[in-house]
Amino acid sequence: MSETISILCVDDEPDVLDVVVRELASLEDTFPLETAGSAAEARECLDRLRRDGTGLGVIVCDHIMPGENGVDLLVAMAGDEQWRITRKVLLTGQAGLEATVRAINRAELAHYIAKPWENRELLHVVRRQLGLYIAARGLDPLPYLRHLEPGQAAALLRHMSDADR
Amino acid sequence: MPDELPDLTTTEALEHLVRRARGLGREPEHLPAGTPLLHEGRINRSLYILLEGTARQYKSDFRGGAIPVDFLGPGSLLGILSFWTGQPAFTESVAYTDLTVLRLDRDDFDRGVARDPEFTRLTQQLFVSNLSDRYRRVVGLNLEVAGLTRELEQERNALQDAIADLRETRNQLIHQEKLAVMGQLLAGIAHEINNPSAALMKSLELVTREMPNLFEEGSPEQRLFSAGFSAPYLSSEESRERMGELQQRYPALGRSLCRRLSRMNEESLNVLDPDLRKGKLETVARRTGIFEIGTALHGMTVAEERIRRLVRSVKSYSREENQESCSTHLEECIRDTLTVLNHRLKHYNLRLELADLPALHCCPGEINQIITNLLTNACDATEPGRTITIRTGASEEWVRVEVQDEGHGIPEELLESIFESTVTTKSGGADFGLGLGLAISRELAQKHQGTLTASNVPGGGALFRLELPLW
Repeated sequence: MSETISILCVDDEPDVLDVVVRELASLEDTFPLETAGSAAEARECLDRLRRDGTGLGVIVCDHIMPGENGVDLLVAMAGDEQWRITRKVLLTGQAGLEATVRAINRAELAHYIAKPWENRELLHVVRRQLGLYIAARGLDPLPYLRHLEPGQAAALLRHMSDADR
Repeated sequence: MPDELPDLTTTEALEHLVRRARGLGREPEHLPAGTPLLHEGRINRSLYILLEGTARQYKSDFRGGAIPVDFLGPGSLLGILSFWTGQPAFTESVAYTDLTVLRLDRDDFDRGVARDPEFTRLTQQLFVSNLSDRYRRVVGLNLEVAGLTRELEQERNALQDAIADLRETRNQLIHQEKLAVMGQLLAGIAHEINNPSAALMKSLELVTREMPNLFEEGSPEQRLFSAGFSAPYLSSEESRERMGELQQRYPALGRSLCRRLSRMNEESLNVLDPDLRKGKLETVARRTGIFEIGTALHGMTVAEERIRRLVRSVKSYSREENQESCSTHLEECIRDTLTVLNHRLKHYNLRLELADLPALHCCPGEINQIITNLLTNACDATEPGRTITIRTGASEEWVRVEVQDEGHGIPEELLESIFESTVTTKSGGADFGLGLGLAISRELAQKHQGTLTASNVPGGGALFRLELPLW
């Protein structure tokens, strides 16, 4: 059986979280969606994933939230062996330059999406990042192919067959 | 002996001296005004004894100009130093009026001293009185210089104070101007948002009203739509639990459909239960979609209300008429300010202890400005996640607003001076303003006959109290 790869969405605004989940709903049957309303809740969720041995392919995280902010959470994850490889996406309306630079340099930010984002932009970004995660882990892309960006899926398959040779 | 003779007046001494000089073959000379007597920097071989008229002394300054130094009257000796020491003349001397002088050369003088004790005595008296005059003048000049220096010092201090005052006033004006411009911008933006927002609201009302009529009365669709419209929001935790339950109940369901169903109450689930059991997932998905349209419409209505509330707060926070006094409820000022500052305050645990306050005659714009300043200061001083408290209260004569934080407090020695402009306890320079916030706030409080004071709370944190009279 193929490995479970989850997606974690973090935002303190329920409405935004709803929209994010709705946009990513088509991925859910292959990539379980986890949601969290704060960084603290996201950490609980990470603990649960760690216990269950579930991988986390992508985290989509807001920056400005009550309590710990998103960039700090991403930086902490980059320093944790288990989540270092997770693709990190910042989804924010108001991260300042300093926070953004920190996210890029210290959290190895994979993508930055400014709110409000274009229809399906988030979906494309997450699909691409899932592909990159699968490639980085060297997983068999076949079970996930349906959800990856077409060009990327082809490249992954070619890579696989090259490796088999 | 000449020594025993009584001192003569200067006039008498001069008359005597003229007579004695005649014995040496010297007659008084008349010089017209403007005649030069001594040239600065040149060797001088004569001693001039001024008998009548006024001479003027000049000293050249380093730029080559001649600065008037002194006027000399009858009885004065000119060239005394150069004559005596053989050094070049120290000053320039010119006849200011027509003069009568007695000029003695070295030779005349030596002969006089050798032959005539009376000549010696008279010249000595003149020397001494000239020297003591000059000495007195030097002392007087020094006193004068000291006085002038003191005056200058005072004037300089006054000027410095005036410059500091001006600078402060200018900064306050800039600050006020900035706030005014920002207020106008805010009001403009609020107005621009207001129109599309009103259109949105009207459309939402229409859709919400008409939507149920699209479905048959009492049909599953209609029930699901209204259930969706009133479905409560589930936290991530709750929705996860609910999803777990649903997956147990309907093992064949995918996660995605489970998540969509997780927001439904039992009643709605009962509506879908037959389809779920029969595995008619397409129907379930379609009907869930209708439930979700209900939820989405409700979400839009809530979001729209939020926009309207924000616009209303921004307008009343920044509107022009706020600059005039009117009957005001402080609680409204506080709520408006809270809405406008929401982006900062949402990082803190905000505690509101608002008493029932009587209306107050004041200028709401300025009260907003004070409360905004106190709240932003509290945010700057407090770690995110800690508590900021806003407390109000009233007595017979006063109402008060307190803003308390859990920050580092204010050093005791700064409790009063913190209200002076440019005193700030905030570090980090560029992030912060001009250090004028509290100075302006206190001024605005005083303008309302009120007070603004600071204290520290036991256990850490600062407490600012604004008290305004009820009149």
